[in-house]
Amino acid sequence: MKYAWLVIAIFAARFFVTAIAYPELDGDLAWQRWLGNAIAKSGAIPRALGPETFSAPGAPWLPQEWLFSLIAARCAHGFAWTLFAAAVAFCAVAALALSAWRAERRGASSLAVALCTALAGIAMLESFGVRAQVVAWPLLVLYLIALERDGPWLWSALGIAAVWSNVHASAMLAPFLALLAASGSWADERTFGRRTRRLALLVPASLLAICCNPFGWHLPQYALSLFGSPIKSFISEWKVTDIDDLSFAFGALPLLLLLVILGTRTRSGRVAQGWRDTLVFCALTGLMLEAARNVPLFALVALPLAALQLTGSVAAFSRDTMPQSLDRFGKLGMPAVALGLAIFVAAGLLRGTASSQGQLAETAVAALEHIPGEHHVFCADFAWCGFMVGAPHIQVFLDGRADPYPPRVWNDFVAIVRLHVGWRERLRARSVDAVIVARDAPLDQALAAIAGWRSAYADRRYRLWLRSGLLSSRPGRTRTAAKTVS
Amino acid sequence: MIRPHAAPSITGPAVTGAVDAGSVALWSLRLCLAASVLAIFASAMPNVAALQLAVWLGQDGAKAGIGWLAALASARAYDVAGYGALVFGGAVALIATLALVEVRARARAGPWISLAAASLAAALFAGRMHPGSGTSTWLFAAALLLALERPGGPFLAIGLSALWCNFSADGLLAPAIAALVAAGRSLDAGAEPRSALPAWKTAAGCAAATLLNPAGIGYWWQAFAALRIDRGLAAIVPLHPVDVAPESYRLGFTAVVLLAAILGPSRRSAGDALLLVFATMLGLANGAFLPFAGIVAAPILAGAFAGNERFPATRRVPRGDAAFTALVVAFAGVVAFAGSPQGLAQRAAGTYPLELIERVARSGTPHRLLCTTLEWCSYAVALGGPQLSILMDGRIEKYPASVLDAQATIARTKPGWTDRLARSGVDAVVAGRREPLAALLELHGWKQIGADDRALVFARAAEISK
Repeated sequence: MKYAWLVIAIFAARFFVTAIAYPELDGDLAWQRWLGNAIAKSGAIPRALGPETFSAPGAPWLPQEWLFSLIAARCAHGFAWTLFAAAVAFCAVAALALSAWRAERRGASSLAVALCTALAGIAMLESFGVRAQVVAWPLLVLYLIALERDGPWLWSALGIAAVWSNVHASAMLAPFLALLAASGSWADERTFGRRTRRLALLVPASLLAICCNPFGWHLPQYALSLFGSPIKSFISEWKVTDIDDLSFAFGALPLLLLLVILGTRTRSGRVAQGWRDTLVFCALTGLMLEAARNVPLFALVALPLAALQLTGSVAAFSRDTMPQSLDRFGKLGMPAVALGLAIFVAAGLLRGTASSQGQLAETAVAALEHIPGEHHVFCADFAWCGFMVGAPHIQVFLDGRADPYPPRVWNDFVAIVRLHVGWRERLRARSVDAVIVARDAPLDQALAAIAGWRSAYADRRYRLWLRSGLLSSRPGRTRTAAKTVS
Repeated sequence: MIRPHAAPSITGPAVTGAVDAGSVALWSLRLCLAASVLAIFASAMPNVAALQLAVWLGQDGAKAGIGWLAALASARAYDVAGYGALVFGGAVALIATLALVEVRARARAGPWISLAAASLAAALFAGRMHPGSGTSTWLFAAALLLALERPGGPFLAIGLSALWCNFSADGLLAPAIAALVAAGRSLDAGAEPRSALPAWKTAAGCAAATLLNPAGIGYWWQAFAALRIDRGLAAIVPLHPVDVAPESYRLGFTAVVLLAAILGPSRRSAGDALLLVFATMLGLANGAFLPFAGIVAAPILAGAFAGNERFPATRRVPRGDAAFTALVVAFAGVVAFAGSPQGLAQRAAGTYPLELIERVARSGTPHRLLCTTLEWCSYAVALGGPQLSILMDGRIEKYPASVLDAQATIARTKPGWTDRLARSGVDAVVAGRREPLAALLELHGWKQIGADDRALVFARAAEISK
């Protein structure tokens, strides 16, 4: 682990600075705070979309991030916020460190662990943010560690699964992982022995455990329904993994290629990997190739396997080739270097231009909020509308909650954004009177070209369009909020 | 370096089972696989645009440039028996490719596993079993890999490289493959680096052979552009595996990656490792190369499977034969399902607005045409005639960067697209029905002069008034 700490320190600096200084990566945090406040206020978790949307009020909703939202709402400002953001960053760091420790514990060399930890860290970069799924990352690794235990600790997996199900719907992975581990154990031992039987028992037990949340069995049902959901094709995080995704190309793909070259199974020396690891790896590989959001999960699972295979197969990474001088440096100088690097990276990030400020049309949203009257707003990137969920006098067409909106809403959304035949009619039929769009996007160009819409706000990146005549037809509204910044 | 296990090198075939070529069952399955491929080819809607273009180019060698020999062969075949000859030729090329994959796998794993390997390779062709998809490339790739593994193969490999470069731009892969094999030999040779020298000489020969074509040294950069592995091209042509070959990516490619990880075949040979990584990266960079991943990986995986201690039953127990028969049948089923005539017909019908383009070409009015899908303009080129010129077609290597940029700007409606459209002199546009450009042209006063289920044709309003 001594070299891995160096790598982990660098990523920790990156995660902590990003979380605390630039938390708004996708607009989800805004509606999650609103949800948390709503839960705190009513004492109940909403199970349907409300009047905050005009396209699908009353549509069934399963707010899987309820616990995260509740805490995010309670820690919305000041030092509490810093602590909360830091805790989320800590989850990402913990996931990476636990995965590296898992590799070390199973016999991987320090150099191999460091290299694979770096790759896994890169794989986590693009998905990282103050988000519920990040809190689920260490739970995945903890669950896998529990599955490796023989004694009573094996049953700690159930507690982990229960907690996981209250954090994120990816908890649905837990019984599948147990099933794969049981199958792998059976294949490794060639008999239905004690260990295999205990793992097999863990499958239904984990299934029950992930029902220990306010939604009960509806949570796994919801998670399974997402696999066949047509809306996945409209959400960038669900898109099929592409070599243009940096986290995939420079993080997950090298890990995958390492295992394609070296294989996942070895029985030599200290290294012992069998079907149990292989089956879990195969499942996560399939998930990763199918959706970009699974890249970090794959990396956390692949890290120990790749490190072990490197140790067992490549002479330069084997345990007995470590120079003594490097070993001494690892023990004495490494913590200092790690700390120095972490401070350097953090300072660089804080001074740099990595800010998420201006990436999410917050200024256009603020401009709309200042325009008096009722608004039916359509955001060309539905995540931007997350800022307006629950805002007074504003109802959104589609926002970052995404999943509960029915396919007909999504079809209209895509038709309007991509200017399919009949897009104007759909915009009119939905009574949209405000549109937030990226400048020069096709919809922006189209609204500029047709009559009936006027620009109420514009900056370098975004534009707010209002339906003409809206202000004059609704009493009490003024044009004073309109401004242009170039 | 990777520690080689006690395993055969790429040149040392490890025959793990008796070759049972005369077995009725084995030949039945081979014929079954071949018949499936032939049937899918015969019933599939061909890539008419590409075929038309090849025939048109073949009628005048001077126009052909890279791939002149394939164009010439297509034109001659078309003269003899029309599209039927091209369809049959494509099917035969693909069947021969699979046969070569099987031969290569048989040397490593015996007849039954090699048949499964050929089926796995076929799975990576899923959705692309139709004429016009560059079937000669796969035949050359399979033949070259086989030649490089055989003791007497270097000269054959060099000859194949020369021929391949005259057939298509993909011939540029030949020296790359040979170099990877040579690099693998060097890594495996360890203390005896000289033993890899013949492989490096072969690689050099293959590289030199790429110059033996009308384009000479210009072939290298023209062919590189035509390979479409430059990510910048993603703005004008689909490159992502899921867009280019979704069935092949989801079924075959995922299977290859997972099998490689499970079996760890590359631990036995650095050459195998390098080839596998190269094929994987190429497939991810441009989904059109997914079949190449199957051609490369299937025999390697077969060898690893046969040599794996974990699967002794496949060689020692007779029921292994039945298991592999089932596997072959399952793969054939998957391939047949994925490449079913209905599916292919739907895809082809959804891709080519042929009648629309013909109508524009024969309207009697001169037009300068832009197509949002480049293959549509390839078809317009193939229709010929002085009435129609195009901004750009599928032969990317023929066009300067400024034209590529104009095409991307206009087709994707990037800022300034209207100016580029005006400057380029385009007065007619064929745009997909669901593309923003179609709606924006209408809003900018262009007149819709034709439509079908797939596309809309617009003409500049001034042209209509003339």
